[in-house]
Amino acid sequence: MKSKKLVAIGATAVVALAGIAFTGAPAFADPVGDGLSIVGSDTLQDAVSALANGTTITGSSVKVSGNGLVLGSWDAFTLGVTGGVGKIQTKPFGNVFDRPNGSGAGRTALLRSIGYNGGSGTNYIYNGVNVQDQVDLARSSSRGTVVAGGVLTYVPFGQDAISFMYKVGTDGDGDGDAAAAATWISDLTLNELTALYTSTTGSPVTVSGTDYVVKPLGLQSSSGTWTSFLSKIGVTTTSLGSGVDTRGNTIPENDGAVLTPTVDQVQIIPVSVANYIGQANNAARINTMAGASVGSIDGVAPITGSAPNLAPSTVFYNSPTWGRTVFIVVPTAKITSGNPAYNQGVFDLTNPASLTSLTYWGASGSPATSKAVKLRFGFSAPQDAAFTANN
Amino acid sequence: MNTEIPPRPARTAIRSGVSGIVVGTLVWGVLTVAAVASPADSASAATGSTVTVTVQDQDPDADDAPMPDLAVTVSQTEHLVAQGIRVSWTGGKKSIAPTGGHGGANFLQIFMCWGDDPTNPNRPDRNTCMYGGANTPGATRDAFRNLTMGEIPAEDLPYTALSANPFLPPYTRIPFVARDGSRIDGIKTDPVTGVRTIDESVDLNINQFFTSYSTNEIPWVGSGDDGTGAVSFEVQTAAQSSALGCGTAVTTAGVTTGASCWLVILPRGAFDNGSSTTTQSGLFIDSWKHALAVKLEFDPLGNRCPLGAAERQLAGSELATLAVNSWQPVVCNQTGASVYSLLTLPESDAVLTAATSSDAPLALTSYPLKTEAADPLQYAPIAITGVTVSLAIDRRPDPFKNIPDAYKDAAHTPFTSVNLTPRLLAKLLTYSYLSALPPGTDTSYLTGPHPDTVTKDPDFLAVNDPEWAAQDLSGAAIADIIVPQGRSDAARAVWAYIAADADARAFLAGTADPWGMVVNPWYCTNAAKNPTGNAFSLDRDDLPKADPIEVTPANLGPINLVTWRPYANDLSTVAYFTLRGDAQFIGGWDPFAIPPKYGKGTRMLPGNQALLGLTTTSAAARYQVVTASLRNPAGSFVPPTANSMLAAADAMTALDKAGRVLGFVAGSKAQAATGAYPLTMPVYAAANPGKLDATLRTAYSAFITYATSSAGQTLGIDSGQLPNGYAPLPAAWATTAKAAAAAIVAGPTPTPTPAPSQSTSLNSNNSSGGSSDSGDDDTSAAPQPTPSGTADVVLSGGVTPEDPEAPAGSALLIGLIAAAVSALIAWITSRRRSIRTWSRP
Repeated sequence: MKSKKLVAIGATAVVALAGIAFTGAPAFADPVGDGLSIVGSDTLQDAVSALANGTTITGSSVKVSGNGLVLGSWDAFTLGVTGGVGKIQTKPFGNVFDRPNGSGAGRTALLRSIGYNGGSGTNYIYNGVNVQDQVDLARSSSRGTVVAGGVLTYVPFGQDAISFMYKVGTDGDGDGDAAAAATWISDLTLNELTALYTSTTGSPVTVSGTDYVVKPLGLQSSSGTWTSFLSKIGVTTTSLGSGVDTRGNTIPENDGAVLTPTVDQVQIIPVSVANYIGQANNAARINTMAGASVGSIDGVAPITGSAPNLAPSTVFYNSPTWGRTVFIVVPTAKITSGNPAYNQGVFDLTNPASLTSLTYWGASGSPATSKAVKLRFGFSAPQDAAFTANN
Repeated sequence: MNTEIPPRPARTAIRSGVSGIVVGTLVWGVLTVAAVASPADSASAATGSTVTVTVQDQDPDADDAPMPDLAVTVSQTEHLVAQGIRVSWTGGKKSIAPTGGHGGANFLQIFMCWGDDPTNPNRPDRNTCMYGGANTPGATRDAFRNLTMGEIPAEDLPYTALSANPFLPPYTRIPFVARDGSRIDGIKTDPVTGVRTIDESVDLNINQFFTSYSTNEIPWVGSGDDGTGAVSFEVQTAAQSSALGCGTAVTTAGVTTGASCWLVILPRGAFDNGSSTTTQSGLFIDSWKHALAVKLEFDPLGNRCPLGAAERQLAGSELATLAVNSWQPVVCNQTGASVYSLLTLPESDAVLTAATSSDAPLALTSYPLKTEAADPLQYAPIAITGVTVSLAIDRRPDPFKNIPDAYKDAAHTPFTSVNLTPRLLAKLLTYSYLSALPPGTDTSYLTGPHPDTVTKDPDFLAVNDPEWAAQDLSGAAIADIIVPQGRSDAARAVWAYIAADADARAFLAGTADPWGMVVNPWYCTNAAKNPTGNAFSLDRDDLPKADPIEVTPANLGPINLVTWRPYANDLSTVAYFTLRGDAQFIGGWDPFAIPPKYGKGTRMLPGNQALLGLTTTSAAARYQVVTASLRNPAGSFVPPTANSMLAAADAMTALDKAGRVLGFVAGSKAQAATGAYPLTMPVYAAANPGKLDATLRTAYSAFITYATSSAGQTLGIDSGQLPNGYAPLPAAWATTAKAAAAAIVAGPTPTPTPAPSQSTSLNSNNSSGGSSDSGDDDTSAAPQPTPSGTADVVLSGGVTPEDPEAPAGSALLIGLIAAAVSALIAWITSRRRSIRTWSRP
């Protein structure tokens, strides 16, 4: 294990490096410290970044740390910047590797960081680069396959939900039917969502009684939000309608700015409700949600209250159809005491019993807990238990 | 029911049963033939062992059950082999589909177990269930609990332990015990201290007994909004799963039976076992205690033929496979008989070999040998069966249409009937619907309106129940029809059925249908409109993917029609795909494969299925999948049943000059047969007595004799009987077969002479037995029950003459056999004509 002194020197170095390497990006989009690194899902990135970098959004100062080690949270991509993926360097003198741009990529980077190779030998190569010890934790909005003694442990971070968001375009003939279209799109049934995402260019769905046509948008194909949205509405990539626009497989998740409806058009796209709340509450660093609204499904609204005090609807979040538990993923060995790889910092960051760990959901109602921060970012108490997996 | 008006899709088994009886009565009035067995609806032979179980009867804690009103009916519970059974239910709840995080809500899980609960012999033992192979949330043998150790139910406690990591909750793992006693346990208990630990070296869901690739469990099947549903379940015997060992031969007091198993129907609610969703195992006691179970009785497995018995080859028709399999264990034990193994290959090849080679396999065919010389073969009809369109289409009402509530409530439940016309079949086989072609490319060569799928075609809606118009169905698998590769008489019969219909013929020739739809030009029978410059011939025995469309998405590999809509291996496989809802969709692009390739798409879950397939009536019956009703030349939509196939047999006319091979071809006789299923096909056993030694002649004759005996032609599910999907041979046909068998035994004869013209109907044939009035030598040409009196094949539209299309391999074969000079000449002659046909401008 590194001595604290070494770590402190490294911290200075990485700050300097970061200053040079990322001058074009938003100043605080990527971590500014050394210590432990976390990569993966963009759904969790705003909340985890806030906890890692320190936040006063609850009125109290909350900053997580692992036994004195700073947590560096690396975004999946930079919000509001198309194709903001590029490469990252997580540790002093470490190799530069492709930025993991989602849950699956983050977990793969974590597995490669510990050399896991499906149970046979070791493999530290992630997208052609050796990433040994470069990643300590991962954010994940999807689940691996539960297996006893899996090398990864999934510790619940919170409960999220999937819904859709929409924008209504301007009214072409000025007959005032934009309001009717907005009302119509604000509450869809599951079957209507299925029909929208299987509609063809030849027969698009129109908003009855108005001039408006609905244009469904699709997210980039590696998005966990996209794949789980499709499975929830019973559509496969094969049965996806030709009317769905994926803009060449480039649309990032949870970005309200991609909704650009033309005249007499309504655009809709799947969204993580927690991420929407986090942005709309201005808890996140960037709010792309101006003008974008989250729709209800089958008459249940995913959100209560109004910005900047939006809060999750428990009914929606805990529904088997739309709710999902999101996780912090950690190598099992690093949190198993007695294991040679045991790391007190990683253990502290993921210990659900600690008020200021990433995973706290205990009884305390104090604004100084990580739980209070996560609530502001639109997460509610997780419904699934911790488990282990190999993927 | 057999009128011009399309029948409303039968929504219940009772209703379709009634229609079957009506058809039966009508046919009975026409047929004075005493069929070998009583004519029965094809589905009825198995109904004797249908069982219904309810939660109220079986579950002592019914009030707390996820679906207290659930009543489940299993279509067949006795004499099971490796096959499909139909599981249907009422009293369920509207289901929610599974996602990556949980198993769904208000659904059923269906799987098999082999052992009885030691404490209650009326229930299965959960440790003996093939469950967990799906390995998806809510469908595993193990799970981390949302409970503390103290909250774990006593029944689950022996299988539960804690991990070394304090963040992890208790872990419960249900062991699996195979029938031979071998087992896998996930929890180790110290024999001294009793301390339980997790054995991390064991994966209970991927084990030596079953995996996701071999298991037959259904991890999720949903109910429609009205709480009803149905699904076909794949029954596995010890041959597919030795761990379950169902059907293993067990001899008790001299009687051999098959080992029984359990079918378990496990209702799951929105949450269970302490979790807020269905993330836990259904084998945990909180779920398991609500399981419904039905005992399944199997036919004994194993070779019941005498060891060392001589083996004889049959070659040709896939249509006869299931009948031959059923006859085999009985016929092989008869004096003078042998073990008969059927090799499926194109029938035209099989008959050519039978006619020209010495000691060739007994050919099974539906069409006669194509020859201009005298046909040396003896033809014995052994089965009446057919080709059918299987379907798995679940309702998906269009949410944007104002439709009756009854339609909305039926969402996600399967359609149980559909009507197809020859023109609709032509549209499906010619890739004329948009979704059948890979997306993302220029399809402007398709002129006129082209619906995405057949279910959106006004041509389809015009002949089907109005409920279809309320659906919003999509997907490639209902824009085409899954077909087998290669050549077969079945394909020939399908094209002949299409060619015999004036509307379909006009459509294929490039004439727009009444709604303006025009055929995909690559299949146009008008050479001027076909981009190849050649006409697409309907006189063919294959099902080609003729459209050369290809699209290459960015950074991915090219997709052509075969990549997009792959062939199946054979007709039976298509029925199995239908059972599983596997539409052969293209999967994701795998750039790391060597060479890079597209993977296989996942199957559609019950409740969201939409596919059509071309299969045999017998395979459709075995897997108990839904089949389409086809419009016959009389204008009626008729489903394939024993009765409708018998009605077609009655209206069959000669396909060859000698009048010895019959087929259901359009003509005045067919147009009068309102109850006839138009794709009915007889299967003939064909042999050339002049080229077989005495042993083979006796062996082939013994096979034909048993196959056409009353035992072999009695519909039933016992060994030696005629399986479902076949119609028992009418007496006159059986007489013909006996005469042919006698002719085969008798050996070489002079060149057979054509049967004399005969104007007798089947009725008179029946009374006469069909043989005494022929005045011909029984050993030279077996008399047929219904010769048409003319050798011409009368198709209403005039199909071109049969094209032999003999393969190169056969040509070589002929060349090697000096004795077959006349056949060679005939082949060359017909080949020349064939070439001329193709080069026609």
